[in-house]
Amino acid sequence: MSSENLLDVKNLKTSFFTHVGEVKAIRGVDFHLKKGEAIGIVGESGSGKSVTSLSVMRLLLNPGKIIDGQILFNGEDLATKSDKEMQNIRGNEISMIFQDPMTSLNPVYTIGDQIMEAIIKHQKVSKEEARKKAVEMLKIVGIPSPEKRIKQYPHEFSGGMRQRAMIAMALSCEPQLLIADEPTTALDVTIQAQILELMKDLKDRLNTSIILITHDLGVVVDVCSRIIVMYGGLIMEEGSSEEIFYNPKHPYTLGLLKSIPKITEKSDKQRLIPIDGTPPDLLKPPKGCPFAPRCDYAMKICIEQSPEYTQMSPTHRSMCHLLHPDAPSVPEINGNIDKEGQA
Amino acid sequence: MGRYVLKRFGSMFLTLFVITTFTFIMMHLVPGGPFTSEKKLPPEIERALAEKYNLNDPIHTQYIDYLKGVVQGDLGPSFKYKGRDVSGMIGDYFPVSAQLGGTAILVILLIGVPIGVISALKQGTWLDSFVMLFAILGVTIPSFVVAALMIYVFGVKLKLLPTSRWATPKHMIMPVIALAAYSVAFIARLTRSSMLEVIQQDYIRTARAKGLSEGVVVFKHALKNALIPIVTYIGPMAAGILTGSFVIEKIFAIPGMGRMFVESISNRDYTVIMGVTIFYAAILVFMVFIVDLVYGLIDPRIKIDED
Amino acid sequence: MDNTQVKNKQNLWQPLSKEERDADKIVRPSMTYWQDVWRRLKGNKVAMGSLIFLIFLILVAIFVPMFWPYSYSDQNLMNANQSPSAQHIFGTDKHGRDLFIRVIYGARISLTVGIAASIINLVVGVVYGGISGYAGGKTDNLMMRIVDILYTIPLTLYVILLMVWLGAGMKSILIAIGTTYWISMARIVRGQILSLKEQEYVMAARTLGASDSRILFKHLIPNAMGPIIVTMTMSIPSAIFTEAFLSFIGLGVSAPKASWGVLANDALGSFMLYPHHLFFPALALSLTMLAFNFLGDGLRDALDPKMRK
Repeated sequence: MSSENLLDVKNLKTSFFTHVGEVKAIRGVDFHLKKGEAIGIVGESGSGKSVTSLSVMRLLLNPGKIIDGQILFNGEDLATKSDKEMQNIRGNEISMIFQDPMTSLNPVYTIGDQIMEAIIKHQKVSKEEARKKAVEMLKIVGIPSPEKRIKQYPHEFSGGMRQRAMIAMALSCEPQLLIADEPTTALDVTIQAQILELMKDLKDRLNTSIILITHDLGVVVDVCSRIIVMYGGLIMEEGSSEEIFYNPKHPYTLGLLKSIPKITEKSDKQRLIPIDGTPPDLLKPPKGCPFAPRCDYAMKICIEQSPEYTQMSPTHRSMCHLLHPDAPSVPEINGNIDKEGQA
Repeated sequence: MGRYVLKRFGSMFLTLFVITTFTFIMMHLVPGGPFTSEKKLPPEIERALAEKYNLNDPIHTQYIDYLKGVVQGDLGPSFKYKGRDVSGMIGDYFPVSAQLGGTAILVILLIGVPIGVISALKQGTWLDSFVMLFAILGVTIPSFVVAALMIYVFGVKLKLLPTSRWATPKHMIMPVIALAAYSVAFIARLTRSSMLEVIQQDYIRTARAKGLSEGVVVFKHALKNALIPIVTYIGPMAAGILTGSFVIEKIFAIPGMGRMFVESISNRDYTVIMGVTIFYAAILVFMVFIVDLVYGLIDPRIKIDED
Repeated sequence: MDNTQVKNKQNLWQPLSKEERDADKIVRPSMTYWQDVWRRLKGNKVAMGSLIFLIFLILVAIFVPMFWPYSYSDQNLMNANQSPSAQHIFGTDKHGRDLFIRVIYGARISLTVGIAASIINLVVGVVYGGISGYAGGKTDNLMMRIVDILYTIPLTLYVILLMVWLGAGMKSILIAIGTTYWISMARIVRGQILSLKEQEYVMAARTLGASDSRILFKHLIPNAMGPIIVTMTMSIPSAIFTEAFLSFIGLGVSAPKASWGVLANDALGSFMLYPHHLFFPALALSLTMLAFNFLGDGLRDALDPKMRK
């Protein structure tokens, strides 16, 4: 089965060796991605989701380092590759787009120049051919008058257009994998929808696999077939979109779902229930479940031991003590029957 | 781009006009006439001189005349050196100062900027600390101290370099270094901090994510952005070189305009003071204009904002 | 499984109390902004060293002349040009005057010029920049245009012209420097005010009926103090240097009073024969400027770590 996987991350551990100590940003993460698949990684800031993508791309800056694990891309371990080898992969086989398109584009060069340089480097074509390809890419992402726009500078584009240009730039060499780190967070809601539509469309057309990283569960449901929920440097729950939305098995996932604003017809307006508290300090990671201090159902065991993964279906797993047979019954999570036969 | 250039050009003239007027006012407000440092002259000679220099005309006429003269390049006669006029004196002494200053500017740009870049790329290493230490010293130790130290070490003790006059390239070494020291240090520090700030930017991360080599990332993407504050510094730098030349030319006995200017101050040679001030100001304003042009070329956001 | 083990096992599944949950929260003692600044500054050894040096220098400049056996103008031509010795720590100058006390007096003059000029710059700059930034709109535009034109003109030339006009002497120097270098302070203050003006506490104050000048002086300016302090600390060495520069071209304070700049200038002619004439004033000048620069850098880092290079 693993030979079909485009990306196979095994026991990834990444830390930042700062002058105050080692911050364990990712503490043992496993996941995989098939060709043509789109998965979402969801979590708050500090959960480790962005660090995961930067680790895969090997774009971690000092003092960050991958300290353990494998990142298998088409069978080859990216964690051990040299910088030069990675340069051939970035922009070429794996591309990445970032949150804020205004600051992510170089203000002193034209959009065309910035798209063309990747094409020229990776595909070794002439400037003229690269220019043609760049114009074509701008068309594909839906930017009007691409011939004119190519000579313009980033500040002459609107927010949504800039993100489209970033996508064009990322896909210009037809990578097998596109990592999108909070691509819509800096845009307004209507533009958000357009960009997500675009990404879905391109995924189908070019058969690009996508990893969509966001803190907003509402964003992933449309584009992604599988969702990974991260917290405190670990994966809390993983499953298909239906499983996560309709049958969540982790208090954190539940919390995230409850805090999504829903437009409802009913006259009884539902209150948004935010999750109280702040993320854990990864300088001294907790020995138990990282979510315990904020969890409404926390038990004493939760701060003593880190839970194991419970597999609820071939695609659905969760890391929670409540799923243990001895745990008390919590209908929302485990609908357990205890020893006396009580639900 | 055209509108931008025009605006800058107009600004330049306005500034020159203000400077000329201000200088004129200053000089005419000085207590005592231009001849106060000399012995009392017989009244006929005084009258003749006043006639010659139009000192009896109402002030606004003198002003208009002066302005007319300035536009035509005539800055009036020297009060102290009979038979010489200010423009002529400038013509005689300026080339030497231009050589001194020009060489200093080249040194500053061609040595200071690369040092700053290297220091930024090797941040935290001993090389970086070493360079920064030198930079701090360069910025705080006054130029005349640097000059004196060099004269003592290389001129007197080691007898390697000539310590005065301006004849051979060897003569240029110490004066240029003493003159450039402050600005080289300043620009190295500025380049370094600018590069460090730019390297942190999101677009650098994007460039790396595209698989570009580190060399391209640094020299194409980072450097152009880092140059922006450096270009802005060139104006004040030119001003510093100019005023620094007063001191350096005096110490090294170089026959340049700086030394002439300082002498004209002690001589209270007012026309020369005025004329040279306006000339200096013109040079500097012109340099700022050039800087603004270069700025507009590097940073595309500038031109558009102006419209 | 015996009873105690069963009990333990069941205990693990008990819900967590609130205190147990909050146990991990990190709590830092809360400090006021200025306490935080001072704490950061204290950690900067170079800046603290500079501060101590400057305080020491000021104390020396004030108190040493009171008990020192020589005065700065006592001439004794028999003793002229002596190298440093037990009787004359820094040696003597060409008129036989004790160089040490002359350098101390030089400290008095140079420091006075530096600090006084900076204070003048501060006041003029803060008022001008404050009004410009607060008023905004056309007033701001006009005031800044004036500053822009003034800024292109090299300030040193202005200072020279003013000195020629005003004549030499301490007062003239203060006026000349004070009326030219306020420009950078004004710009910085204006920039700060512009960004602070939009903050909510300004609107709150206005709703409570505070007048414009009250808002400006009680609310905005104290909050802009950070960059103001840094700029002022950095402008002191500029002022000292400008004074030294003026002395160099003959526009400094008049004899027998001497600032470091005058001492250095006087020493130039004969310095190759008597290097100590130049060495001590130059050393004093350089160390002082170095100290102010380090202190200014340290203050900038302490006031806003994000501004760090």
